[in-house]
Amino acid sequence: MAVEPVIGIDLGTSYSSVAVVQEGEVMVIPNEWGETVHASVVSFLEDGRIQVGNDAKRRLLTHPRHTIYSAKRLIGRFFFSPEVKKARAVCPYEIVEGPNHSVRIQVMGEQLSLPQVSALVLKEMKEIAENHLGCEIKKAVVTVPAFFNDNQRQATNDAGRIAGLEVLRIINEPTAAALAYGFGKNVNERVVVYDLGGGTFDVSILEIGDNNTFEVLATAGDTYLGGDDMDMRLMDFFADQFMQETGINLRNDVQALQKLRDVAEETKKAFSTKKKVKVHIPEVFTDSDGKVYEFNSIIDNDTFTKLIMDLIQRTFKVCDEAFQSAGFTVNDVDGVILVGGPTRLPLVRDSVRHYFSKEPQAGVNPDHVVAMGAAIQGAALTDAAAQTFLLDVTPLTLRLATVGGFTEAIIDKNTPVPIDRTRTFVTSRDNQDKVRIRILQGESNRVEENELLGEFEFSGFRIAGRGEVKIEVTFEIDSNGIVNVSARDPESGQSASTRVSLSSGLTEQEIQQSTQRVQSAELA
Amino acid sequence: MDPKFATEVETLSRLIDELDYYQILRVPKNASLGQVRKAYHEQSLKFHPDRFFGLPEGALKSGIKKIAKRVAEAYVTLRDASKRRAYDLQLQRLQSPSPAAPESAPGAPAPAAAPPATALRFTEQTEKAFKQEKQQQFGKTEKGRKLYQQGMREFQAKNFVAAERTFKMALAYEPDNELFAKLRDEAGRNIKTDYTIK
Repeated sequence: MAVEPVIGIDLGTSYSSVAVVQEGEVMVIPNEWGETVHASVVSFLEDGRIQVGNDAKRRLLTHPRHTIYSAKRLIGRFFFSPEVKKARAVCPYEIVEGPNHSVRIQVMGEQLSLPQVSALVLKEMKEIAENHLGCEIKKAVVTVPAFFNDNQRQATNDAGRIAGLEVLRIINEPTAAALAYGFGKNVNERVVVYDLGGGTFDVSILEIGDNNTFEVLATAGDTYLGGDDMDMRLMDFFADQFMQETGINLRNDVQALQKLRDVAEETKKAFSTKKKVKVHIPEVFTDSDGKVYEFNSIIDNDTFTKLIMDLIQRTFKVCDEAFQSAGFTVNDVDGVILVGGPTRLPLVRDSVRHYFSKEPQAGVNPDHVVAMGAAIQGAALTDAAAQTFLLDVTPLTLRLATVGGFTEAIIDKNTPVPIDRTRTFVTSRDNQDKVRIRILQGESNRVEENELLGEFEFSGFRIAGRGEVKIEVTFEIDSNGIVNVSARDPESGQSASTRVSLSSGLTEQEIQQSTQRVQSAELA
Repeated sequence: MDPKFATEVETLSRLIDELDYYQILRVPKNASLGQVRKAYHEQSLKFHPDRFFGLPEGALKSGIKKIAKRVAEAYVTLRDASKRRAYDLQLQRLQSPSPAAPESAPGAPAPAAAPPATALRFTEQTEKAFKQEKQQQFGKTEKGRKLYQQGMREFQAKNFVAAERTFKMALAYEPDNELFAKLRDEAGRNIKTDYTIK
């Protein structure tokens, strides 16, 4: 029997793609129109059908309240997080609070969880692959930004399950890009992946060594920095200009704002090849008297540079951090790989060239590498004859809440997985009969500045004065990146353990219900 | 699965607590960072669970996981210069159990009495012992450390009288610091030399 194909999915903030490895060759799978890059947009039609992809993106203009984009910015986040607040201010669709501070999207009287929305995109990718390959696809490797925390990864994993896919592994986007770059090359190189996507920026440093072993040395990132932020700057620029010319604030008009967003994205893309961009929107606004306004603007490269330069500079701060973590400098790098649409901008390329004193790798399609890498990892896990072997690290520090709102680092970020580490703690109160073990992820020593992954209670140890009872807590991160925590009383040998699970996520029942809903959804 | 490999996994996972990190990675004690990294790649290729993704859960798989985690732990310790120094110190102590270190607090267990299961691993005790060692050398009180640095500067400037006085003051804060005492005596000897020349 032939090896069952495992697809690789790049589930992007703005665009997604799907790839597969067949007979030792990796290919990006096109849809029936020949498109290989599909908008991560889901639109709900009046007749109950759901549209996904580039067609759905076109409906952003006509049906902004029924069309969901950039869901990835919200997945696995709490309703009260600053990112969600930010999104609520700019998104025309309705973002509401669900149970346990989760985020829900209200569309046509229905409340959808974020994994459910992403599942619709994943299902579309699955169907594109099935149509092209002519067989059922059950397994996938899905990519996420390197700096996604465990909650966001679990939510992405749930999205896969809801879409009817067994997610064999969640891998980091820059890692996937490096796999695609080094696949079948037999090189001995140290490479940097500079991944500026629609919503996130990641950088990873990898060593490609003997036997095609890919070792991730360090990863750093910013989960709220990307091409969308450039679009936002352009939108603001246009809105300000219109305000000056007419005194009308387009920011209060959902339709006009969507038109500006579209034009902003087109303008940004145009700067990949042009030095000056002319903008024209024939009907940007209609006032209460029925007067129709048009919008005209000319923006040159210098103005555009001024608008977005600080965003690009922020990416290099993240690069500095990655180098520090890996323990070497820009000079030790053999190659630079660019990933993501915004890296097409000459401004970004020039800045990268300047920072690394190196020409970025040509011949790597920044839109395709991530999905290709995911497919390569899918093959590596399931095919005995696989050509690559990935040694990954944990992207964020795993912590334990101690007393007074402080945390203690247990497993540092950029530690290779699988790994475990045991720490001994003592009771903090007299006659304490149970301890609450709270597990966090992040880089701050304060509880509230980290992401809470989960908590459990451990009891049944000897009752005594404070500091007299020892408890051993073992943290384990397995090769799937899943965190397991167990506590043990060394005196009695009694132990308790938990698989750290998402505190704001979906229950098993919710996943089952969502799966049915998504499976039965009719894709237009 | 190759029965020879299964036996190897069974034996190695059973005996892993008796091996130090160098033995786990199969590198000499003076291995360079490059050798350590290469060894990590080799051992991972052999024992990383991703190489056995389809293998059902069971004794063999848990054995593989146990080895893989220890291989990563060995790598994390030996690739970091300061962690490696701390670990080497622990190994040295284990081999030549010197009379309990004088700096240990009364009642604290001597390092040699550490539980054997973790004796060869980098634990929080390894870190603690290393910090203590450093503090013992350069001073465990803030005043002590400051005076130590001042004394060293005076020593280097060949200002031996001042150096001896400073190390004496440092000893007032940390009477049992052997390094401070040694430096005081050394400075004192140098002062005498000055006199004879005169």
